[in-house]
Amino acid sequence: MPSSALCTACRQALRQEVGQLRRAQAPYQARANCPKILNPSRPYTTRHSLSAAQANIKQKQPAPRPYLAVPKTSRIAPQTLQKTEQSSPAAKIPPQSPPKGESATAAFLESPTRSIAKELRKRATNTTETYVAYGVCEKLVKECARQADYTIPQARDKNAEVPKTKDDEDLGVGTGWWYETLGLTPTFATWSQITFLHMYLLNCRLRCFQPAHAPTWQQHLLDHFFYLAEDRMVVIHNIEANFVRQKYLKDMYMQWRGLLAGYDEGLVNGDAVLATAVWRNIFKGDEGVDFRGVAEIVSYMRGVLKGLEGLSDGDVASGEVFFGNPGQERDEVLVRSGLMDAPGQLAGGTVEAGGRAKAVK
Amino acid sequence: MAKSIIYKHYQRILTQWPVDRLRPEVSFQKIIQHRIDTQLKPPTTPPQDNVVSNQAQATIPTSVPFDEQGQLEQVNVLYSLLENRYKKKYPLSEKMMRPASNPDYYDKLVKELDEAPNRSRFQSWLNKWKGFLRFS
Repeated sequence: MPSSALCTACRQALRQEVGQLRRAQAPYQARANCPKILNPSRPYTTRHSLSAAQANIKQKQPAPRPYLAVPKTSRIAPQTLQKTEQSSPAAKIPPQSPPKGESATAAFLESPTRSIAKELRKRATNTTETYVAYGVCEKLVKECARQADYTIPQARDKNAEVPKTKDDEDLGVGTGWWYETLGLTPTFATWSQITFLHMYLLNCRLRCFQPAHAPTWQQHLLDHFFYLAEDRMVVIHNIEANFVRQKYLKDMYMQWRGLLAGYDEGLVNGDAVLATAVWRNIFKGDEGVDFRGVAEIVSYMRGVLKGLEGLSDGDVASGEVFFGNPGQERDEVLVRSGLMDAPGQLAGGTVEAGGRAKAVK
Repeated sequence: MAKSIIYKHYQRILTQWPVDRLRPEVSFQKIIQHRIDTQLKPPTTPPQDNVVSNQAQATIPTSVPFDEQGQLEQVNVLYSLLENRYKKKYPLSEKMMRPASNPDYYDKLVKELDEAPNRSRFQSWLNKWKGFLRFS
C-alpha cells in the first residue's frame, strides 16, 4: 500500500482535525492537537485517494436507491357482498406517488422531459391519449398473461426433445390455480385462452371509457396481446417460420372475436350461458369437465367485473390493476342450491329425502 | 338407487339449460347427455359378455367406482348456475351495462343474437357487405 494512500477512517479523522483546527482559538494548542502522521495542508493526489474537498463532495451525493414501486392500489379480487356496503377495499386506498427527492424515480419525475410531457398531456389530451394507452396497455396485457404463465425447460436445449400432448401440442410446466387446482394442461392454447379471459374483463371496463378514447384503448390492448403471443411462439416454442406464426395469430384473432360475442352474451343472458361459453373456450367442450371449476370461473369473472366497475377511469388508465385468485370462490360454489329440493318430475317423496340427506354439508 | 336420482337431476338440468342456436355444432345438452348415459346408466350387457378372449389372455372391463358425493356436488353446481347465483352475488350497475362509449352495445348484441339464427344466408351475406363501407 503506498504511503500516501488514505483509508476512509483516516480521511474522516483528518477532516475532524481540520475542523477542530479552524475552530481553535490558540494556534499553539491547535498545532498540538494535530495528529503527527497527517499534514492537513497538502492535497492527496494519488489515484487511490481523494483530496479532502473531493471526498466531501462524494460524501454529499446520495447513494442511488433501488426503484420505488408504486403501491398496488387496485388489486382486483372478487369481493364478498357486505350487507351495508358493496365496495372493494383496495379501491378505498388513494393512489400514492413516491416521496420526492429520495430516488432515481423521483429525479426522473422532476426532470424537464417529464414536465414537457405533462404539459403536452394537459394541452393535447386527445392527441397524446394513444401514446399513453400504448404504454399502459402493455402493462395490462402482461398482467393478464402472467395468470397462466408456463415455461418449457427443454426449449433452450438444442438436443432435448420437447414433450407433446396427445394433440401434438408443446407441453410446458406451469404453476398457479389454473394448472394446479383446475388441472388444465400448460400449452400455448390454454395460455392464450386464459389471457383472453382476463383481457375480456379489461375490455369490458375499457368500453366504459369516453367514446373518443375507448376504441383506442381496446385496440392497443389487443395489439399488445399479439406482440406478446408472437414473442412467445418464437422464444418458448421455437416456431421460426413466419407463415406458421401468422396462421396461429389469425386463428387466435378469430377465437378472440368469437369469445367476445360468447362472453358478452353470457354477461347479459345469465350464468348458465356464461358457463357454457367458459366450457366451450377454456375447457374445449370437454365431456368430463368438473363443473365446480366452471362455476368458480363464472363467479370470478363477475366478481372481477364488479371490482373493475368500482375503479375510476384514472385508476384503470394508470395500469395498476392486479387480478386475484379464482380459488376463493370455491366456498360459494359449494353452497347447496334450492333447486335441488324443488318438486318436479323426480318421482316420489323418498327421492328428495334421500337427496337431501346425502348432500348436507 | 342414488344413481337414478342423480340421473334424473341431470335430465331436469338439461331441460332447463338454455339452448344455443348460434353454435349448433357444439351442443352442451348432447355432450352432457352422453356423459350421463355412459357414467350413470347401468350397462345393458352383463359384464361376463364383455370379455374378449384371445390365445394369450382374456380382458375384463373394470367399472369406475360411483362417487355419489362428487356427482351430487356437480348437480348442485349446475343448479347454482341455472339460478343465476353469481349474477345476483355480483350485480353489475348501469356503468358497466350501459358503457359510456356505446350505451346500446348490449341491447344491440342481444337483438343480433336473437335474429342471427333465423337469417337466410343471402341476408347474412348482404349484412356483411353493408358494414364494409362506413361513411361516419
